[in-house]
Amino acid sequence: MRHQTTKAADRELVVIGAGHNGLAAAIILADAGQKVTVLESNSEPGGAVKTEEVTLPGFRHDLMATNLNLFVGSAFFAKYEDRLKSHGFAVSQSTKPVCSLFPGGGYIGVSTDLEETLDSIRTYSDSDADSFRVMRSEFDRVAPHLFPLLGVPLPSAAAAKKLLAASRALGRSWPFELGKLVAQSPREFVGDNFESPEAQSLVAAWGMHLDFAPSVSGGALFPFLETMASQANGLVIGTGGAKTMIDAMVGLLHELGGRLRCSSRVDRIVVEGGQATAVICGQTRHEAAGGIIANLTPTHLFEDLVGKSHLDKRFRTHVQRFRYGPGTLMIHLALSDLPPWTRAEAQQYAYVHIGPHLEDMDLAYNQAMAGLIPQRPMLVVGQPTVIDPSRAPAGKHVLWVQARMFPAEISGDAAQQITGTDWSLIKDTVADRVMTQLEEYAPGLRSKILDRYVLSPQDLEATNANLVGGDSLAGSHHIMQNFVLRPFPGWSRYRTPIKNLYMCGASTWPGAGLGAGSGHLVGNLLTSRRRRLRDGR
Amino acid sequence: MSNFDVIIVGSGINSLVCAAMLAKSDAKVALIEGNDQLGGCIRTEELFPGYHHDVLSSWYPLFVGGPAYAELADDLHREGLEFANTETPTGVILPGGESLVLSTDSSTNHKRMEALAKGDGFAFTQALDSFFSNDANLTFGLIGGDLRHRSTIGLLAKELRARRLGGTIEFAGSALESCRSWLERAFDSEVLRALIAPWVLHAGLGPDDANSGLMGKVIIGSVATGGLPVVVGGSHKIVEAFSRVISANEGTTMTGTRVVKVLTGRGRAQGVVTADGRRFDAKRAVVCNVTPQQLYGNLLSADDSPPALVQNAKQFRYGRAAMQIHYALERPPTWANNDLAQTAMIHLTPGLNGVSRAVNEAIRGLLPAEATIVVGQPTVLDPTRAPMGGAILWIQLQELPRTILGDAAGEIDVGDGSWTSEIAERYADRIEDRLVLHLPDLRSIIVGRKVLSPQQLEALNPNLVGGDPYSGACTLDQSLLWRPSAMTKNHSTPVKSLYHIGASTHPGPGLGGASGYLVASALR
Repeated sequence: MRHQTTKAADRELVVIGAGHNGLAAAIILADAGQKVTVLESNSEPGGAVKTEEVTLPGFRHDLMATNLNLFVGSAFFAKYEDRLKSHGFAVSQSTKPVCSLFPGGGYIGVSTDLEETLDSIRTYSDSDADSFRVMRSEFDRVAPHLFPLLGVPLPSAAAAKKLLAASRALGRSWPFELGKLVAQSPREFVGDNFESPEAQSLVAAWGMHLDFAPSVSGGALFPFLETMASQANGLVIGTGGAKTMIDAMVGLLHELGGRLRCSSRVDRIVVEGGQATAVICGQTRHEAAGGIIANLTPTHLFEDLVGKSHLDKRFRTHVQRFRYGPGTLMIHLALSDLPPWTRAEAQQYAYVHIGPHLEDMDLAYNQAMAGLIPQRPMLVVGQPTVIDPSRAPAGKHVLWVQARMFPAEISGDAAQQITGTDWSLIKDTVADRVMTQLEEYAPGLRSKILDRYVLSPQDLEATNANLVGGDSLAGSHHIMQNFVLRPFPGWSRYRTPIKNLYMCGASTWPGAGLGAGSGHLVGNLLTSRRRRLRDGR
Repeated sequence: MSNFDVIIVGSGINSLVCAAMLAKSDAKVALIEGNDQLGGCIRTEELFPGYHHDVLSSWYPLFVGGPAYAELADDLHREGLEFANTETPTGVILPGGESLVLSTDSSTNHKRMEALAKGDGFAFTQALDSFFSNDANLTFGLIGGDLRHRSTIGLLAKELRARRLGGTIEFAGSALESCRSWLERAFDSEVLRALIAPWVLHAGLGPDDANSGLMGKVIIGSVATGGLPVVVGGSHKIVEAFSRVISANEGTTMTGTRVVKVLTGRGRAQGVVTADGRRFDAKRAVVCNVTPQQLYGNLLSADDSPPALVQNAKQFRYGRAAMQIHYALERPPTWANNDLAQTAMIHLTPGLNGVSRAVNEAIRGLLPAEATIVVGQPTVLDPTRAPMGGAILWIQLQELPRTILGDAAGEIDVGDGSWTSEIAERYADRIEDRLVLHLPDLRSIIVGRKVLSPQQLEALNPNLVGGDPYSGACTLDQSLLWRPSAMTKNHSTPVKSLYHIGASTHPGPGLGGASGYLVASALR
């Protein structure tokens, strides 16, 4: 059967995938006068940013991503802040971003009040409080140079210039210090700086948001930045749900003349003469003379949509070797009250981390990597209704529980209790285990639960095809696949071997998180390309 | 008071190489060792009458393949050094009895691996071919050369021209891959994965560590092509050969003489002072084969180096501890699997996940429930080490905590966490129970067993801090430019004519002698 050809598609640019990076790219291009259509296979835009009433009416749950710190700190947001706000974007801010709970009622809280944070650390160690203060001033010293580096393409002359300027400002040995920090594991980094297991865990726990268990080399930079940035700035979430961000982006896209088509699964990218020219959605052919930006994992993009025949062997090897990290299990609770934490103060924090210690996090990761259901995963517990009561009926609460990490393919149970290996059959049993663990830190929590909704790693992938095996990062962030190596060595600048086809999203530099980095960078890349074409250069 | 051109502190392989090379170039060399014998980690003891055990290091693939040997081979062999080698350097056996032996013949390997899983033989051959034809120069250039030196920069420039930026970044990507990632994508057979995974322990890494994929290729590639040579008669023979080369070239060696101070003056190292108060002057250089803490914390005065470097040296971190178990046997043990009888070094492990788990347990401070057991059979290569008909097992465990927080198997009471001989013996019993599963007659042929705990390793060689056989964790942040510190250039120090060599410095541990070679090359 012949494909229908959409009319008036001259020089149209197609974005595949309405995750926030795809939308960011589309907005930048539409803003520059480019005709843009975003095609999304799901019925709703947002990728990993979804807010739904999955438990009871009136209880709004961020299904996956929830922390908007990176977004409000992004170059994209700086450019479009007012316009996004005019489309309803609103955030709720916590001045108490995170606390870590320890067995027996132990606790350290991080608040935007530095002295309060240091007092909390001091309950474990005076010298750790001093170290934290030093680390914070070090952060203030390097952050103005470091964050801009994360916002330019790698490798690039711009990045080299920024690095050079930074070493001029921070000293000639700074690149070596940065190199060491980039190479270090969280365990090595916190071991160099803190003596108490609790302060060490406070920082290292952030690594588990990515796939940096404490002993993973190359994992120290992120926990350092995240701990210090959240201490300095607090933590923001979307008012009414993270979806506020997606709704505003879609509103802005429409205002700029861009289009969004949901329930439009792209089956194939048409490559003619080495150039991507159109996409096929079912019976429809969308011409894309203006280019295609794929906000997809490289495996899906190149293996399923482009096809091996258009790629040379070397590139196919890269695609084949792209590695996904371990999976995540999400539990959403509708609660009649906040969790009765062993430390009442914990109720004030946006996030509660339950590692509890480096040893536990390393063990959970190691078991997941061996295909085992971990005995005690690390828990990130979000309490959005503490800062944004609009997410639940009056006086009620929602709880966002992320359990890290789980295997996509199960080979066994580390606790040797669960015999099944099919996620769809055992996810509630696994969730029960997580709840038992949580109950140790919030005795009586069960009696407050009005409803529960569980997303297994498999469910996460079903919700968003980019979360392969439930990997919430769309590809391991380990150093062999980070920075200039993301997604592949030599291909960190959004181009692909296919002319006119570009990639963005969590699988590309600067990786996972809601910073809109890759969308912004690919949008800028194509805007300047469009300008060159227009000017006949 | 005595005058020398160059004084070398410590007498491990790097010192021996450095001293021999410089002595041959007509420098007046003194090698000063605190122990009562030369050799550092090269040490042979007659633990039981007639049985000569290499109590620490024992295997020489890095040395025989390295630049120091290329230069000194004739001298050393003239002074009695002899190597024995084998065509079956390594093998693995899994708890269920599945095994694989690596041969130095590539077609044999290909056939055996294809039999385990179709395609694996091809993948193994291809991995090694591609490593040796494409990446070996750059890899060995980086892990064998001085990094901030024009030769390395020249090599990088040459590789950059040939590979272009994309290809160079590609190399960096593959160099940072973990061994797990490499093995899981390249091979289907769990047995083949198990053959390779334990070898990253010998580079001080674990299979999940960044860079362990490349190190796995380097080591398994070296072993598959060069075998696993040992010194005939025991490793002390190589020390004796070195010592004779040094004396023959008018060098001096001293034992039982502990250096306590490096003398500095007029901005350079002037000599050393020993514990008994003697002073030795060095006209050209002092070369210290010690840990960073010893060098910057003890041997130098606080005002000799910038405080930031002293702080850096203080933070130099040590890796997992190791333990040795030495068996003297009446006769060679009977392997339940006969293929292993003639293999030089066998790993007992549940496989890739088993190595990963044991490493993880050690990182978490636990005695591993099922450690990787490295079983060396030196007498297969060199029967002269035991009385006629007897045999020796050289057993190494590399996944131990320096301070013990607990026992992963929940059996051994670990007390206050420090290594006692009681804990070491009980842990050795656990290992022996597993050995017996594959060596059913072991217990009936034991002449003697000697266990060396991490603490005892450190007692034999103070560079093995906490029993870390590699004098410093080998993870990425302490490798390359960062070993021991990015604040020093190559093997120089802030004190002119004072050099730092040994396993704590680039390119790290092993019997290659590279740091000694590099400093000697720079000095002569």
